[in-house]
Amino acid sequence: MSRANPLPTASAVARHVVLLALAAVVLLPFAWMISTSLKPQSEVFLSEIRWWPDRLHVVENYTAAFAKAPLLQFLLNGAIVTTSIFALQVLIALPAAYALAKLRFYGRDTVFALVLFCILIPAQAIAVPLFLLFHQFGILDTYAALVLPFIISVFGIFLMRQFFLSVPDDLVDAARMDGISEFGIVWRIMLPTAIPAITAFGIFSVVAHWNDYFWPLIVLNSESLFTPPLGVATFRNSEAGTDYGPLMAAATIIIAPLVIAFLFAQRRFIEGIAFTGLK
Amino acid sequence: MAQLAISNVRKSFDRTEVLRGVDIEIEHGEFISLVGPSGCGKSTLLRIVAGLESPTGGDIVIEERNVNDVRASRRDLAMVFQSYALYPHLSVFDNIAVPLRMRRLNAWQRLPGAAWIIPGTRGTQQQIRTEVERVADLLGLTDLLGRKPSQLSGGQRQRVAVGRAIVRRPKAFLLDEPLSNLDAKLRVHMRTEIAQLHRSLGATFIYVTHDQAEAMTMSDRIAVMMAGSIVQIGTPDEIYNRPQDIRVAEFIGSPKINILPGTTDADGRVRVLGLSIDQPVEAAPGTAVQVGIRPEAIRMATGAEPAWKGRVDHVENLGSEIFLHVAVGGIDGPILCRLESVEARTIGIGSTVALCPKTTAVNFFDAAGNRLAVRSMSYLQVANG
Repeated sequence: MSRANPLPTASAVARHVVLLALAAVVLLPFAWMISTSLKPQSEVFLSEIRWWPDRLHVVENYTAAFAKAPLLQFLLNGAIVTTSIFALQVLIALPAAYALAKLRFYGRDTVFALVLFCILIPAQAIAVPLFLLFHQFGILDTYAALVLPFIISVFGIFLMRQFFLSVPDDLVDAARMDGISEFGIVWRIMLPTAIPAITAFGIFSVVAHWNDYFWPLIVLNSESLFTPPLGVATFRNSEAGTDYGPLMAAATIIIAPLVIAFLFAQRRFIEGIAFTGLK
Repeated sequence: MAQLAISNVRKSFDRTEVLRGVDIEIEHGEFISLVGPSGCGKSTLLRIVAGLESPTGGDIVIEERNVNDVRASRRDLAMVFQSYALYPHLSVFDNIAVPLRMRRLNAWQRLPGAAWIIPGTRGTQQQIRTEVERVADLLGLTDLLGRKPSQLSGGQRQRVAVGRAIVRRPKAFLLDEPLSNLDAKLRVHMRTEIAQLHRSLGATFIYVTHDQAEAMTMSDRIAVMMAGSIVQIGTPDEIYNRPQDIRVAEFIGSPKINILPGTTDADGRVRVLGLSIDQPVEAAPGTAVQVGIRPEAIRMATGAEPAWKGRVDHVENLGSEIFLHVAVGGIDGPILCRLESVEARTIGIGSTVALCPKTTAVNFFDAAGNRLAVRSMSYLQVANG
C-alpha cells in the first residue's frame, strides 16, 4: 500500500542530503584521525587523499602510542577524575535540588535565582582566582585541584530541581508519614525516582570533564596526573617534529571509552537531551 | 474523653484564611467524614492533623497529648493519599513493609546483608514479612506482592496504599479522597470494602471527601465544612434530614434539595407560592423564609387539595424511580419531584401536574440560611408538660 510505504518524495530526499552532508562535516575529521592512525609517517602528508594506507602501520603506531606516553595512566586519571566529579556533584546537587523543589523556607526563590545566576558565570572567568586560591591551599597539581572546582554543579542542581518539581508532593508526604527522614527521602525516594534525570546529567558531566583541556592545563605540572586530552597534547613535539601516526593512535584510544559508552547508553543519551529540551 | 481533639484550629497561607477556627472531637473507633466543596479547607485540616502542615493557631490533641510540636512520623497516624503515593521503585511487598522497617530496624539493620551480621535483624525481618503477608492476605494482594506499582490497576494501587497504612496498626487512619481516582463502579465497590475494613479493624477513621454519597454511606458522623469552618457535625441522618444551614441542605443530597421562597403569616405558618404549609415556625409574621424540600418530600396532590400546578419540563427515568422537573409560576428554576415509577408512568413532558409537600419533611431557613425551629414541637411539649 502506498500509504504504509510511501515513495521517497523530493523533500525527503533533500532532507537526507542535508543531514548526510552535516554528518560528513562532523565525522570526516574523525574518520581522518582513524585513517591517519593506521599510516606510516611517510604516507601522512601525501598530495592525494588516501583513506587506506599502502603500508599498514597499525601495530607500530599503537605500540608507539603506548610506549611514548603512559596512556593507560592518562585513561585511569580521566576515569578517577570524572567519576569523582560526578559522584560528588550528585552528592551535593540532590539534597540542594530537593530543598529548592520540595521544602518551604524563607528566601527559597531568592536562593534559586542565585543558583540560576551562577549558570551565567563562565569557568574561564574564575580560573585565575581559583588558581590563586588553590595555590594558597597548596593543592595545585593534585587530583583535588582537578575535582574540587566542579563538585558544585549549578546546572545539575537546576536540572534535578526541575525534575523533582514533577515528583508529586504526596510521595514526599507519604515518606514522612512512614518515618523516613528528610535526607532519607532524598536518597531512598528521590534518587531512585530520578534515575533517568541523573543518567542524563551524568552523561553531560562525564563528557564535559573527560574532554576538558583548559582547567587541567592550568593546574597540572606532573605528567603522572595528566588527563587524556593533556596526554594527547604531549605527543606534539615542537623540537623533534610531531609524530602524527602515534598521535592519532593516542587520540583514537582516548576517545574510544566515550564512544563505546555512548553506543551503550545511546537511548538514554537521546532521552536525556529530549528531557532537558522539555523541561 | 475523645481520642482525637481538634480545637480552634486556624490556618492561613500568606493572607488567605483557609481554616477559621475548627473544633471536632473524635471518639475511639469512630468513622468521621469531612465533607465539603473543593477549597473548603478539609484537606488542609487533615494534613494539619497528620502533622504535614502546622496550624497558624489552635491545638491537635491525640489521646490527651498535645501533638502540635510532634513530627508526622511520631504521631502514630497513617494516611492514604488521593494519588496513593506508592514508592514507584519498590515492589508491593516493599511498599507495605516500609513503615515497619523504618520503625523496627535501625539505619544499619536496613542495609542490604545486615541479616548476616547484626544479631536480631533476621528475626525482625521475618516478623515484618509475616505481618506484610497477613495484610496482603486481608486485602487480596498476595499474588501481587512481587509487582511494581506501575504494573497495577487503579483499584489494586489503592489497596496497596491501604495496606501500607494498616500494616503498622496506627492510632487512627487519615484518608484523603482515596476513591476519587477510581471509576464510578469501582468506587461504589471500594466504599463497601473500606466500611467493612473499618468495622473489622475497629480503628478510628478520618475520611476527607467532596463526594456526599461516600460520606453518607460510610460514616458514623459527618462534618460538613464550608469556607474554612464546620457548619454542622452529625450522623448522616441528622445531616440529611435536619440540616442546620441552607448550605448543608444544598450540598448533601442528590438531586439537590428544592429551595423555595416563602413568607410567614400571622400564625407563623409559611406561605410558599400560594400554598400554606401547616408548620408554624419561630419567626415574626411577614418574615421572608427559605423553604427547603427534598425531591422525595414532594408528592402528587390528590383531589381538590391546594397544590402547586405546573408543567412537566423534563423527566428522568432511573428505573426504580422517576424525577420530574416541573416548571411552576413564581420561581425561576423547576421544582424537582421524585416519584415511584408506577405512579409516574403516564406523565409525559408537557403535561400539567399538581404537587404538594409532605408537611413533616420540610426544612425552613431564615434569610441568612440558618435553620428555623418549628413551633408545633414546643406546643406539644407544653401540652404534655
